[in-house]
Amino acid sequence: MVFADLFFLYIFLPLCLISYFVIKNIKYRNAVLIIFSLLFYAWGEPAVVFLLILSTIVNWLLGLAIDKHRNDKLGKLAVAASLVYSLGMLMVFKYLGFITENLNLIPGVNIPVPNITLPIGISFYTFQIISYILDCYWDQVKVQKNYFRFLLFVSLFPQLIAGPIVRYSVIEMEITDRKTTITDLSEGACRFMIGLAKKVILANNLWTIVEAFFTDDITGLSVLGTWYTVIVYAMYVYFDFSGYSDMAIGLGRIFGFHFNENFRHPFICRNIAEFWQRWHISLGSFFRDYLLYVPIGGKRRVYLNLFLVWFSTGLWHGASWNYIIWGLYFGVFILIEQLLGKKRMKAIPSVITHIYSKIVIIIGFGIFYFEDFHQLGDFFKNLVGANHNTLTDTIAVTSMVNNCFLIAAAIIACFPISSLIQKLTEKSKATIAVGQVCKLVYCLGLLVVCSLMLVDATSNPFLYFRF
Amino acid sequence: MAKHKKAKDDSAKKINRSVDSSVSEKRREKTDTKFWFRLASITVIVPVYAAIVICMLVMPRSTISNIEKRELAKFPEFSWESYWSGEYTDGIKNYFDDTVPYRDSLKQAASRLNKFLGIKYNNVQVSGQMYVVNNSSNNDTQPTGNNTDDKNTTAATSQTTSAKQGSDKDKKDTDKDKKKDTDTDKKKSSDTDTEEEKPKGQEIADGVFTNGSIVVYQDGHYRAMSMYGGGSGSAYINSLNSFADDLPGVRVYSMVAPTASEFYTPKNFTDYNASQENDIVNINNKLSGVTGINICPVLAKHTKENIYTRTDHHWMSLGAYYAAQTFAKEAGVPFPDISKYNKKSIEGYVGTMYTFTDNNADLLNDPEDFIYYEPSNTYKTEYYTQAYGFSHEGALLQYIGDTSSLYMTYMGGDGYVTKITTDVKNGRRLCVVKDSYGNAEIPFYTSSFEAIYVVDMRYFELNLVDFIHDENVTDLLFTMCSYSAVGTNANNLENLRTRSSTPAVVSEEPEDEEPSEPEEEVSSEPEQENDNNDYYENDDNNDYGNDNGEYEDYGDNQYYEEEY
Repeated sequence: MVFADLFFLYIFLPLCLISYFVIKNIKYRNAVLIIFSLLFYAWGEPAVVFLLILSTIVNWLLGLAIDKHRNDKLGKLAVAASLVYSLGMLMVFKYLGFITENLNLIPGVNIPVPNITLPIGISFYTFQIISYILDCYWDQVKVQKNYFRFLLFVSLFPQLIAGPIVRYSVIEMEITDRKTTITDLSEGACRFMIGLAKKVILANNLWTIVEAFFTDDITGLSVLGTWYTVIVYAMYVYFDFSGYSDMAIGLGRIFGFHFNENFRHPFICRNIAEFWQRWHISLGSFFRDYLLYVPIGGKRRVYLNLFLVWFSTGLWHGASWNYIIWGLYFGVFILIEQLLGKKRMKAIPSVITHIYSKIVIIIGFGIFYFEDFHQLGDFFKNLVGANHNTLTDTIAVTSMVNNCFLIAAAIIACFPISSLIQKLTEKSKATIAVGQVCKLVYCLGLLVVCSLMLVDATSNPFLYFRF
Repeated sequence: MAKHKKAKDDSAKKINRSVDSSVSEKRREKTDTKFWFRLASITVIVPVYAAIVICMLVMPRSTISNIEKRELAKFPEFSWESYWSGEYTDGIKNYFDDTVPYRDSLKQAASRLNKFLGIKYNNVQVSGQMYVVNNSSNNDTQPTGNNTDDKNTTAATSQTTSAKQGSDKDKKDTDKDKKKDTDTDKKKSSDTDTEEEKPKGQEIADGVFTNGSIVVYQDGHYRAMSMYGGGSGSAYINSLNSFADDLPGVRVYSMVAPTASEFYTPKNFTDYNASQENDIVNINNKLSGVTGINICPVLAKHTKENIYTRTDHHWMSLGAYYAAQTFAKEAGVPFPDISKYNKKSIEGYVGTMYTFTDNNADLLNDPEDFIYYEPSNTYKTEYYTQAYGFSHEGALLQYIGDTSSLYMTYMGGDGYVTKITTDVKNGRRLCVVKDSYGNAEIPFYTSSFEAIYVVDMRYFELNLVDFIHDENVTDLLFTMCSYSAVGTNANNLENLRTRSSTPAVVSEEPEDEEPSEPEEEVSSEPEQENDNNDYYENDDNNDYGNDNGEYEDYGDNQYYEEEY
């Protein structure tokens, strides 16, 4: 099931909210959340939900073992077992096809490529489990002795299938002790509606543009058309994913959970390092905390770890070489920025750093989009007109004009407008009043528009389902 | 190291929280003001939300969509099998999403919202994927003969071999898969190709016969049309030439029908629309033993008249009339003036282009009249199964009660082999091998031939050469739109010519043979059902499977081709 769906919005969610809020006891509330979370997951994956449950049982037990044998070898063994299990799951369900395909490239090797469908959200919840196990082992968090509380942490439906990757430490307390305040409820609801609008109004409509231009054969696309489409695609990915994160954070707040932010207006960054501090923060911080400082590689550790982090970041996004290249591509720019040093980076005029970072990011999304290398090659050629393509074409210009308000709205939404408005309205009681009323009307308006658009569109996929 | 880092992180978090809890005096006051507004907004949000939920649950659910002309999803039946595959839960979700109360009104409101996405430019709205079609390279290939043609056919054939899509939930995934499929197809075709350089426009053209759609505002009305990608039609040419060889003594004609984009494409979009007349002339030049008829000049004279539908991908009766007239002249058969026919008109026609243009609101709000002409002479229309087993006798033209499928007025669509016996006595017996474009011509032949056999080139199940011998056909007319002639549809012609005939069983109960086809009336005939499902599935399931098994991938191209 997805959030941007009438069935979820008007059947599943109200049922869940009613069941949750008629009960006062936190134990039963947790039970309600677990039931609805499993139902939510099983709705799309009736069989694979058992894999999720198995993973939680295995890792809960291993967590207990780590706690018990903290100082002896068994503890280490348990950590290793958990990591092998989690990474093995990812390997089998996400990368096996990719690995065999690549092995088959070796002459003489001919392994049948298995056809395994990716269980939804496996990348997200597996990473949550890994973070819990490592935090346990490093004594950052107390081990969770109650299985159902652990299950709740992993399966909590707001973040279950498309992130953010919530650390156990973030909601550890709230699992057993939380309240939904009026502020939580109102802010959470607004956050959810804004996220929904990002997905339904912006991302879905931007996607129709991308779909129309990035086709099997893009050699006929003009230079302008290529740039236009890849920029639209970059914005699409951002609104699709950050919209989902907003909805997750909003829903979490309604239930009294406070997740960390996952996006902080990534497109206003001045350099690539900053971009990754603003984009998919929960993933970046996961790799930073659990992979960047893994002591391997000896003297050249810094470079090896950097490579590892960006290789993994790429690979996490999909089982295809273009994602790996995409990750390493960013790694290279971050390395360059590191070598230049903060001082020298700061000395460069901000206009130039902004242009530099935007171009790198935008081209990066081109790499992200094209899984096929021929197409990727065409894409690069198109960007500079090396495919004998024209500078502009009627269709691209028509599409730009046809969608000018949409694109303008999307560009504006890439900037931190809401915090600007908040600053403006926080001057006096009267302005706060105006601000709050406007926000309410705005959010409800968005909900109505989104619902209408959802009636109009029968399918609205989430891009980040694939991960 | 990691521990250290983590600890730092956590302490930062703690500091953040403590800042939150120990806010300054002034800040708290503001927060308090906000608190009351938040309380107020909750007291608004909750009832509004509850009201929508209650409306959604209590109000009667829609069962059919008049806009999309289809039955909406039904609540799925439970079985463990469908449950474990996820079909059951998916079905419930689809049912709920699809049958929203007042669906059509809401959808109309939503389509109005789309206007706020941007500004109309040059009175044209674009939908679907569109490629530059290199018109000049089309002309260049004219004299190069068979080499390029063969290659093009390979490219075209490979289109249909795309693997069947699984029922992925993620559309994006499917798109990528599709991409992969076509890529492998491309590789396949390039493997079989010779290394010879091939003009780029051609390759694109043969790969994509339809080239996106546009909606144009012209002379006070909206007109939607698919752009034409172009192609050489080598499969078509080769098959027709072989038919002529196999059928000495039978007059063979080819009359390829251009589509609306040939005449109504705005000037600034001509790069995206290959010249259909060029392709038709090229085809006609390469035919031997076959009379090639080019109707483009004739139709070009009448573009101010109602010769093409504005909202459907077909032509209007009047366009077919001018085409039929040209053919009759060529064949030397009598042909009455259109004033001898009874003109019929049905209001409120919004055809297939509404869906093909991603539900263009302007098109929906600008319906047209569907006009057709009923012959006034005496004739008898019999419907046969695709294996030529008798099904029933019926009307040649009948309103089937569904305004979006009005084009099915002619013989109820493509589901049957049709035999018309007329009061003409001239010894001429015509067999029309057609796609749906040909259907509109048929009424105009009732005063020209003794007997008319109407065979759909996609569905006919017998050997056509034998059939023509058996029925003593004197004139064989291939008439289909340009997409079919240059596209994969044309590959079927070779099947028709070479396949071994399964004996025609004239059975009392035709449903034994064709269980999928209804026995009685043509009103719910198979193609229409397919239509509906396909629209729906295109949107929702991504499972493009088809009963025929012939068109495994219902990507846009195949879909169009199937349609014509």
